[in-house]
Amino acid sequence: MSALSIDVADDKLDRIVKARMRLKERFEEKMRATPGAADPKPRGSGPPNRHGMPQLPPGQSETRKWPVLDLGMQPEIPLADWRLTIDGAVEQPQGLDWDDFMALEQVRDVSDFHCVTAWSRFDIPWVGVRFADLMALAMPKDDATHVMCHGYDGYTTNVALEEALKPDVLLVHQADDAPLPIVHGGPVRMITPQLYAWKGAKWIKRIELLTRDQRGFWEQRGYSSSAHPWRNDRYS
Amino acid sequence: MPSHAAIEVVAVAGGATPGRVRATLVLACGCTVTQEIAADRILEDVGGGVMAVGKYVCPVGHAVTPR
Repeated sequence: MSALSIDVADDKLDRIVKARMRLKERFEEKMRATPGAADPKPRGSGPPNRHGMPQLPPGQSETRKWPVLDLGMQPEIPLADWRLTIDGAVEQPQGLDWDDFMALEQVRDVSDFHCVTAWSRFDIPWVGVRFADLMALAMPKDDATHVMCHGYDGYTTNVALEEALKPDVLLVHQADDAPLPIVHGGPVRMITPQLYAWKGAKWIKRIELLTRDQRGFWEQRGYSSSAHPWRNDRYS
Repeated sequence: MPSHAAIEVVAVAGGATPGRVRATLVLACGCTVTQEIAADRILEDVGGGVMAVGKYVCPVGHAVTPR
């Protein structure tokens, strides 16, 4: 790597860090007030999880398997063709290819996965990019409130920005110490450990910033826009 | 048609094709359905209970609402 490219990379990282701080200032209060962070009476059982909620949300059963659920198609996207678009209410729309994505800070995290169809899997090791870092690149406009995430399979799901910007929300390309399998949304899916898992689009290809909430695929079919597991918040 | 989670597995039998089973399930709306599903949709939780993961179409179109 040349000195110039190191400078460019450092400059980009510096911009992301500064932008991340700006986002934190904008959304910190809202993030602290979300049920996953501040619910005084969370439901569920077991010891506290990583963000202080009971490990097993109400109505869930723990499984060690990882069931495969989707809309009936599992798109195969070669890494050379993979693109992630970030657009809508942003100051700087982004179009990332695989190399761009992998050049961003790679985060290792372990979190739980709660499916609305009543199963939970604990302690999944992930590797990916923080959603907040992607937002720091694109910078949501002042009136942006939500995102609509789009998958290569046509799936959509809406998430409030104060939920999506939490540090454990990642776009992951590894799970269980291996590349994310196609059946689980590889090459890249989103995870939302503090919300039901349908809020994390598999085969993600586009993050659209919205200035008002809109309903995604399951949300149009009666499922919750907010999707808080510790409130058994499954339906709209 | 509205799709619901299964809240109870009533019966599971072999399916007509490999990798599939014929399952009778009670859905969150209260309806009971019998249909062929992928075998890996039936799984045991760590307590030994049997569950059916995924969402299933309600045969009479019950809306997806809290019950």
